[in-house]
Amino acid sequence: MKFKLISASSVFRKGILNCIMRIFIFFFCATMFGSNHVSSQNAEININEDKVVTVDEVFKIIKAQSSDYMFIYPEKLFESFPKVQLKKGIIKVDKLLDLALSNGNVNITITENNIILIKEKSKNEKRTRKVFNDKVDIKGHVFDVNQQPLADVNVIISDLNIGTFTNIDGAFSMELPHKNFHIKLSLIGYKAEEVDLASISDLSNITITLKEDLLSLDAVVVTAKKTESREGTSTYKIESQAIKQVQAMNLSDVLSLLPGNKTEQVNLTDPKQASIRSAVTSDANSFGTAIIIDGAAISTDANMQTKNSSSLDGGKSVVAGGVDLRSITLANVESVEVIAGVASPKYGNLSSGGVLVKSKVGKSPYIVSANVSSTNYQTSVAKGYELNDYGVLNSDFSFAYSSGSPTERKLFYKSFNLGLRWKLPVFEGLDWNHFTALRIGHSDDGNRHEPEEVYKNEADVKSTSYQLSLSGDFPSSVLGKINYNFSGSLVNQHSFYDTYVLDGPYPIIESLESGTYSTVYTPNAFDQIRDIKGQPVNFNGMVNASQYLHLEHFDFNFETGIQYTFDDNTGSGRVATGNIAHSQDIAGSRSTTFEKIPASKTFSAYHQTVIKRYGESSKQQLNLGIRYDNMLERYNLWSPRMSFSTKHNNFTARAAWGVSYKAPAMAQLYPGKSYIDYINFQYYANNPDERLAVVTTYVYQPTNEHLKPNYSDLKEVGFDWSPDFMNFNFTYFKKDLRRGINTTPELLLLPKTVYEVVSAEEGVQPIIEPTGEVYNIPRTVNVMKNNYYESTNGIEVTLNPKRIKETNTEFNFRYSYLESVVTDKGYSIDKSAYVIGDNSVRYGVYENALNKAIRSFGTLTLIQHIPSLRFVLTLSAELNFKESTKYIGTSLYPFAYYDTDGNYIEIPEENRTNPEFADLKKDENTYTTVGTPFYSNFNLQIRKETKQGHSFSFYANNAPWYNPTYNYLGNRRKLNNKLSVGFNITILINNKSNQ
Amino acid sequence: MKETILKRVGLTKLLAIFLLTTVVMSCSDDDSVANLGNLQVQLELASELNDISLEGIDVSITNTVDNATLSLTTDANGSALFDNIAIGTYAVIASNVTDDYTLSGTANNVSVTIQETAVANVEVNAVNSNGGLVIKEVYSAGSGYITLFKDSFVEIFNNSSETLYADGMYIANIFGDTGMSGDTALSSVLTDSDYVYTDVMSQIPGTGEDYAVLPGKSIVIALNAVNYKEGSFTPDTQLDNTDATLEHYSIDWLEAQGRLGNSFFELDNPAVPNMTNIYMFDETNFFRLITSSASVVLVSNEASFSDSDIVDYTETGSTSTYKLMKISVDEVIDAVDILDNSGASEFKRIPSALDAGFTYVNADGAISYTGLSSRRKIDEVASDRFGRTILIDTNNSTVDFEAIDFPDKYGYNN
Repeated sequence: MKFKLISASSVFRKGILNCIMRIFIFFFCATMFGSNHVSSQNAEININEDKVVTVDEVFKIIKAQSSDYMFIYPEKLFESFPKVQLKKGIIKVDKLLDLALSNGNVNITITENNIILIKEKSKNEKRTRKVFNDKVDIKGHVFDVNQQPLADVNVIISDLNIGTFTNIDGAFSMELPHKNFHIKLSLIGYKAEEVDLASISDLSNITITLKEDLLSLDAVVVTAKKTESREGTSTYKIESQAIKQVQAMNLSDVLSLLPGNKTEQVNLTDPKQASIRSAVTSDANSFGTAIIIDGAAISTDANMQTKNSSSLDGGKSVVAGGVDLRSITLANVESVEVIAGVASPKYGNLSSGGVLVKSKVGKSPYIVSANVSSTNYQTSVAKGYELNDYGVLNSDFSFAYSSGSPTERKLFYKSFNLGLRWKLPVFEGLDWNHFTALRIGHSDDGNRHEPEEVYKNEADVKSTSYQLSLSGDFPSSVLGKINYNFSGSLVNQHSFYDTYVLDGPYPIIESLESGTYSTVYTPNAFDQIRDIKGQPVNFNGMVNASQYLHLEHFDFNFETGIQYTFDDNTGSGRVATGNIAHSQDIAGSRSTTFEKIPASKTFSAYHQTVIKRYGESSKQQLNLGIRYDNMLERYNLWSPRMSFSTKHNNFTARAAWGVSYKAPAMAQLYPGKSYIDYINFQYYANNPDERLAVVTTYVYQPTNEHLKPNYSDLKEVGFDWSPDFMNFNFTYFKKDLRRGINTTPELLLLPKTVYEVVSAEEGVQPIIEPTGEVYNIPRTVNVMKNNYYESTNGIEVTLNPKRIKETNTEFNFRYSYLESVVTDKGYSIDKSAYVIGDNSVRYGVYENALNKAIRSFGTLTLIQHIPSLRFVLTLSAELNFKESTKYIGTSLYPFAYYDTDGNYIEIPEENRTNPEFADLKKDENTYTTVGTPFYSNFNLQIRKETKQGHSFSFYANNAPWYNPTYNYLGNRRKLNNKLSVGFNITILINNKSNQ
Repeated sequence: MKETILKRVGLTKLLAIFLLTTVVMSCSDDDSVANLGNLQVQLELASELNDISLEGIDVSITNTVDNATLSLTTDANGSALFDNIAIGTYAVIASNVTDDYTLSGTANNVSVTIQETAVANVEVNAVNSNGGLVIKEVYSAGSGYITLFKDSFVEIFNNSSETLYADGMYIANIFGDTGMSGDTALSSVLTDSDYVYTDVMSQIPGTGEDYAVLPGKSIVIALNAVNYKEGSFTPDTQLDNTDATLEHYSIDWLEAQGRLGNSFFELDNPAVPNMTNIYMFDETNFFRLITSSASVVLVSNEASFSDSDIVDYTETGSTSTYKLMKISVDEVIDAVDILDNSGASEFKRIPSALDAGFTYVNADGAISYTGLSSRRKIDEVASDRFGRTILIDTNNSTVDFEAIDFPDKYGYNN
């Protein structure tokens, strides 16, 4: 409503940002004002003794004690009302009015001036009120099977985006606009329950029993479940039983449960990146996947740990490629929700979905878990402490170690993660849930130097991150529920690379300025060290408010928020020693500092209106959202996000459209200088004193401020059909990722002066002089551009036939068809394939081909659960129907070339195939279609729990050790990984069920 | 040949008997002293030679007046007696060809006087039939981690008795997999055995007589004329290549072509002349030779190369194509096929016409940084015979080459 106060014309006149900030300042003033107002309305009335009075007398008591109120009502309206019994003590006005008027057939309207209008209802009105207009107070208790109250149970009404927690007595209460809602109850270690309020007769005394989430239960969910979620469309939820079943060591393992993803061989020595809805893996796509832990997005935008600025190669550190999923451990994770479709406008700075990780809250025994596979070891311990008046504290610690290969110790990965999450009741009486969370993670990833190994390429990439987040929610009378999340993180990154360079002697050139230098030589072998110290700092603040409005058959839910993110890197930069850049064809990089790089700031605001309509047998929901981002202080970006679904009986049709943007990484915007060195003259005499080299350094300073945020547009339509015997979901989507950042080669021509010896005396360096001859030598540099375009058409299907109750057998089929067309809008440069004699190479300029990748992949899972044995077995058949890559619009011939003088010469189309350009023709099989035939892979997972809740599990990936082969260009290639197995033991210590 | 010689001898004998009869008849008729004399030709082996039989050598004498020629073969003592021949001055030629050598000797102005037996001592010399320039050693295994393959070299040896000039000859690395597991045989892709195929080729500079190779001596063409003992902790295991005859340097050449010159393995010793770069497909292939087991050919200085000699090589199962230069086998002077291991015969990269076999430095492969080198063996018999080092050259490297533990650069020169 308040948006209307600001006309569209003023929006554009005064600046969008300004305007939006004003809206929110207005909102927040209103919140504060509103809260004061509430205290007035809810003035406390002192009843000095127990008495029985008429309604009119109640009004007099109120007016006597609080002059703020004025009551307007027809005379004699209350004559027929029963008398009111008042008890001695203090009662709030609203409660007192409720008490006085609860038995009458009246409508109460409280205006802003505390004028209370009371009038008699018509009969029709009475019916409506019962169904819709009457606010419903629900009260309930949650118990375990032994009738012990359960505290800290999260009670959520997801339709209203509100929730609360049970107190120490297991009690909860909520005020709802009507009773047509489902409440969800979840607690660590217990199976979540969902209750339809409409089916409960006495809402003031709901009793819910939660059962421990053990395999002795009748039904357990060990697969990713397609859910309806406020967070976005096409969301998949992976809950604790599923996380246990895949024996997940980190976030990447659970993503294998999504349609289109495979179970990968566990290997902790390679970085893991998310890939959602794409047939190709690309940094642009992974970078656009947001990883959000308890509402706080993990930002990697300020990761600058590149070994070489011209290639953005971060080695073991993922630069401009998103979050390394290895760092997200799951010791204290209750559920993982993956948004594959259109994300709620709450989520920004993403272009390819998001992964929401929700931590556990609540008391728990010590959960000690150990995972072992041939190369990986992981242990974790988690515990929830009930601190009574001081809330509840959840802690987790995990440690992982991996050696990459069972027979070699070359690679290693070590990490530990400590998480503390403290839920603190802020104000007694106020329904304010506040969380303080601290996460400390450390990882150490690298290559050892084995003593017997003469090639030394030591790498040690360390990262220690500290993240503190303050989040919570509280109700406000005007703005509804307020959510806030402030998180700050600091990461100390230290990448150390030490290579023993054996291919010397090289001319030593470590100049930081362009120029031509005389220099000497390194020894035969020398150490080359790159020491990169980065310190990404991130601050992320978000506040949103949600309101609810109910009109006739419609429920409206409004959510409005603002967000500010700040990313900077305060690290000292890269120190390179022995980094003689002329070692390879690519441009090298030298020491640099990160200090002068400006911080990346994003201000965002969003609004979402959710409209629900309830009919007799149908239900519609429309989400209309818009997000505004001011990225990098120069891009004003609007992202509409909307979805619609309509449900008739057991059939739901849905459609969604959303736009999103992802800001470029700081390493892309400010990659730093590249150094190109070339040798003018070499004189490697027998006598070391006589040796001399002349080397020219050219410093290439990229200016990438023009890089724009990439753009992603996702459209999807789908339907869900859930008759009694099954659940079937089908989604078709089209995802366009535009303006992703990749590199395009550019040719530089650099002057090379030729030198000659004028005189050479024994024992000293020779005297040299330029001969006067200068010729241009070509070098290529990689320039970053918004040239990456990826368009994916896809189908996702999940099919769950009804569980066979008699045998507790369940099947799950998930399937995805992905067809990605990747284009690089740039061109490529390649030099002549051969040169004869004194001829010169030319640099051909070629169109980039479109790359069309298809992945058609399904997983059929058999879940056999035997509750009496506390045993569950899953057998998955991974069906690779098709995996292929082909090129479209390819030409082996250049459309132009550069000669050695740098002249750009176009080749007319009809001449391109002429023999005179034979040296520029690409190899005949450059564009070879690669495809695999149908093949399958079988994975087995079994888990057994004891009565006490301890569990033991085992997995075997590629259990039958089946490695089919296929013919690839006349060669045999093998499919599937080797057989790999792993074990997990989880022990509960101090569990009350073992007492 | 032998058969023909025998036939010729038979004919000569017949003729001699006929002549003798005629002379005897005429003598008896005239009963006077005839104008005839005898010539005994005694062959003598040149001083440095040994183990060469002088029996059965063809000796022919030619009368300088009427050019009448008589021939005999020597007896076990290396002598041949021409009796009752017309007096006068003769030129004597002794010659013989065997599989191993060619023997020859001449004596001029030998006078045969009346009724006297003139003795002509003819010094015969022998030339080994495996003469010419041969590849003596190919070293590309690397002698240690620090040096990598930087110390590789090819050594060219003069097997002849004369000074030969290497100017303008080419040294080419023969492209192709060496027979490790998973390798593809070059001959399965490039089937024309009239050629060998190279990816890196360089030429010995010079205008004709600049790079002399003395008989029984060699020249060394190194990758880098660098002393790798310098700064090494184990100098005994390293080579000092500053004594190389020639070295490689291609930065300037590549950059003048518009390609990337790169100091990777590229050093220019000003004291050692550089090879002329001819062809380099892959500009990062500074090793010149395939590391570990390099097959090498020495190509005649009469060869020349052009665009039309470029062929494509694409392995089965590969999407990358190599552009190779083909070299006609007719232009190859010497070739040695060195493969990874003893079982790699199907990976032979050089046609049998040039090298009937192949060699390897380690029967099980795994050659890198072993310091193993492939050296041509000495032909002991021939060396004894001729009194200088002569190397075996049967055009079969299985026979001709041996693996040695450490390179033996210039090892036969002393």
